[in-house]
Amino acid sequence: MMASTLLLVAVLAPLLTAALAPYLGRSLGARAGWLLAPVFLPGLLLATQVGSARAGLPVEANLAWVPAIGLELTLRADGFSLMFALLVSGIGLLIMLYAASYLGRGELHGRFYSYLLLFGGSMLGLVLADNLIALFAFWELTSISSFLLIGFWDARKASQDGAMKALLVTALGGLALLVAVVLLVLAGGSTRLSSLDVVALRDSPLFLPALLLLVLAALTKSAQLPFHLWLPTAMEAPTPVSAYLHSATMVKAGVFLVAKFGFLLVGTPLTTVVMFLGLVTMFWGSYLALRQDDLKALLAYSTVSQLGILMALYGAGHAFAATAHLVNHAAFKAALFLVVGIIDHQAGSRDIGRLSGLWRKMPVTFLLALPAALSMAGLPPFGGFISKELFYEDMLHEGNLAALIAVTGSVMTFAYSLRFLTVFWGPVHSDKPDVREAAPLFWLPVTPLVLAVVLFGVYPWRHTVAGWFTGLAGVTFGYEAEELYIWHGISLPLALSALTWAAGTSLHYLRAPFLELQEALTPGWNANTIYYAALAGLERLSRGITRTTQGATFATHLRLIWLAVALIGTAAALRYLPATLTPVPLGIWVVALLLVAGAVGVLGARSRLSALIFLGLAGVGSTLVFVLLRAPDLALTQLLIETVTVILFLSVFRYLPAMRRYTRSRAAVAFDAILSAGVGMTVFGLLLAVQLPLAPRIKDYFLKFSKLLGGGSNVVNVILVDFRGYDTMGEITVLAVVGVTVFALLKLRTRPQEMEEEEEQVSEERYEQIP
Amino acid sequence: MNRYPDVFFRTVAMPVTFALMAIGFHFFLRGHNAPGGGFIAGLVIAVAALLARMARGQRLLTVAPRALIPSGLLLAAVTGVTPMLFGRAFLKSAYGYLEWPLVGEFEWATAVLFDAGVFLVVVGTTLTIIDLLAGDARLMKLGADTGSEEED
Repeated sequence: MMASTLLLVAVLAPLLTAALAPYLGRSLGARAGWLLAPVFLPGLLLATQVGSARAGLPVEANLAWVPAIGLELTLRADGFSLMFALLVSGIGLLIMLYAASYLGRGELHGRFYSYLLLFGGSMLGLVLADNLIALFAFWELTSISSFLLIGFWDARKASQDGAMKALLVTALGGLALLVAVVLLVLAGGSTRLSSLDVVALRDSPLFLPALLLLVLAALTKSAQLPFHLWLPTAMEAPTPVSAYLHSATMVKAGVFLVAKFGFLLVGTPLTTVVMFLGLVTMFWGSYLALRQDDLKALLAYSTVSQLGILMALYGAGHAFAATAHLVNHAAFKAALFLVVGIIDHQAGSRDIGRLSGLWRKMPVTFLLALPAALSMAGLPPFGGFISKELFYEDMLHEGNLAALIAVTGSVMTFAYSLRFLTVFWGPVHSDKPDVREAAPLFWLPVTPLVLAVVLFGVYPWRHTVAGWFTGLAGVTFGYEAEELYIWHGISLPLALSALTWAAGTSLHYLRAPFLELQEALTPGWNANTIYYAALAGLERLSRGITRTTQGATFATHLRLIWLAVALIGTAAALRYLPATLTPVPLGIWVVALLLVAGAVGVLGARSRLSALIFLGLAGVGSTLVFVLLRAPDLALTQLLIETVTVILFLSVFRYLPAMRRYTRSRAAVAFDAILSAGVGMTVFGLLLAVQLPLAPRIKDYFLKFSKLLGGGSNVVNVILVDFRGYDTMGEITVLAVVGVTVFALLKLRTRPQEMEEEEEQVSEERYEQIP
Repeated sequence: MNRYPDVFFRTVAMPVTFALMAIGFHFFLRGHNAPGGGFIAGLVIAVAALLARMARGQRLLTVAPRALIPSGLLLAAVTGVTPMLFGRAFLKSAYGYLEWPLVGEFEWATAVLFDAGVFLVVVGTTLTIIDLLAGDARLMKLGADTGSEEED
């Protein structure tokens, strides 16, 4: 019981705190980060549940919503999910602490932490969710919160572009995931991942489409070719965000999906497809990373490349190597991003060409960067070496082509890792004249990550850091965590590693000619040009649709709408026409006359004011109907609505142009008359239809229990606030949305004077058009 | 003072506004057991506020009306969620009776809070929209302008 509560708290704490963060940010500024960081502690405390996960009895928690259709928030901390949750919480905690030093004074701290917590909570929900619908919801939440985070500096054009690109690409994947989830639930007979009927699923014709969509979702989120385009532009986000989302967590969601659903992928040709897509992405990512001059862009393409490795390994089912590398990558890449943030902050630039010799000025930062970068390069004695060896070993099993791509990709990885470190070598140079080491509070959050990188390398056994993590996920994937050693004799993978180092070093020193080659090979188009072309095309299309469908006059719009209503309504009403009509009391006839007179009067009115008065007549008529039918609440409401409407009309009179009559052809008048009659008949028919009891009458229930259950003798009111409270809640929400929308629309309008001028122009034009 | 030309309107508006307010709150309080309720009361109060605005340019509310919209929504939502904390259904209402020394039996119901949320949203939305459409200057000039519009 305690454990499942902890599970819920771990996910909900960041999400709920996100609502508070703006207030804290306003009063505390950047320091809010220190106060808010412990929100990730419940997630870290999940480490206490490792025992049960290892024993194959994962902790579960369930918040039922509509259990009848499988809508529940079900969380399940199996080994892999638990490992991921610990990564997300741990790195989240460090990022919060780091951000407190990173963000400057003038920033909107509250908003920043709010988004970050929203993201952290969604990510925790995503990795722990067992209910597929909840999984989808959290998946979308990560897309939305990352959109907010990437566009955090929302005044910058590049941030807007980056945020939009990330949202569009990942939302495409989100749609695919939604359909995939629906198909899986239909074919697998459960909304819970852990109780899907795998046998039935594999036999179902929906199986393959579901898998394809699932893979599509994973590819977009994890920035695999050709969807890699959004990740580098997402670097417009503040650096802590890049470190968290675009290296350690969010982009791994796609990989997570492939890993989690790996048991479905096994034995399908998709494994090979995913593996090669991953390998190609790995190759292409490191190829492009070599060209970058911006440290952050270099890391971004590097992340694309490393995600390719993970995708290839999980796709091909090598979960052990994949998980080991995943943990490694999360540690060294997050550390490197944070180091870049420090360099940017202290030296005022991220351009490799403008920075050098920084180790003299920033020795601690250098000491933090060195192991992380060497781990990325795959050098012993760091974690990256071990997982790179495992990667080579598995790719050798997959054939020569896979191994070849893996090695070439790694050679370039080695070269750009060295290039990353060049900012520390050589003579001191930077844009800022007085570069100083960062404050301890700034670099301290980076140390645990670097420590993990080093520890996994020098002490890689099962019971420490990354080895422990990797073993934990083994419960899910059914592998025994192998004992890992730096040195396991001379083997083919080791030989390949040596080759990688030699070739990588040469490549680093032959960078100039290689760059020329790259320039020469660059084609005129790439994923980005296609993206922008598609976006422009979409814009043209929607503009075309708007122009063709929205150009009509108001009257034409009304005609179209009413025509549809009349046709559908008449068809529906005809089925109920033989209903018996009860005699109508005399009073109603009188009132009906009033109503008709009002309606006819509006049609004949020559000015807006008289039209308004006639409309009021109709309104009073309806009020009287309610009075006669002994519905005082409705009568009161109707009367008040009439009053408010009159006031509303009076207040907008000024804006309305003078009423004019247009001459219509006889045929048009006849058409309108028939249409109006049709609509009238439709409404009449619908009223009759409503009279037919489809279900037992509920009014007796309301009358009987109003006092007893709702505590009120005004049944109408009890229905509104109690029996049908849900409806009322929805209605006032709609009302509020309308209010806010009107407010936004009117605040955005052109200023009254401009509008008047514009209006005059428009009406003059109209006069000219009318013969 | 010339900006509010109609003396009769101004003079009558004041007591009518207060009467409307009294009626509005009366409607609100008795809503559970007799015709009335949050929606109706909200409209009456909105009308009262508008009357005061039109006749004398006074604001009955000290806050911007649009601030009432989220407050009302929040109040209704909180009233709805609270029963869930006690393991009951969303929006499940509770009521009871208190015996007060002088007043006698007094009924309380949590539904009143929900209704208050409705009330706030209605007042907020109505006033926000009409305020914006009319604008201060517009309402003041109403009499003069509608006249010209009539000649059509």
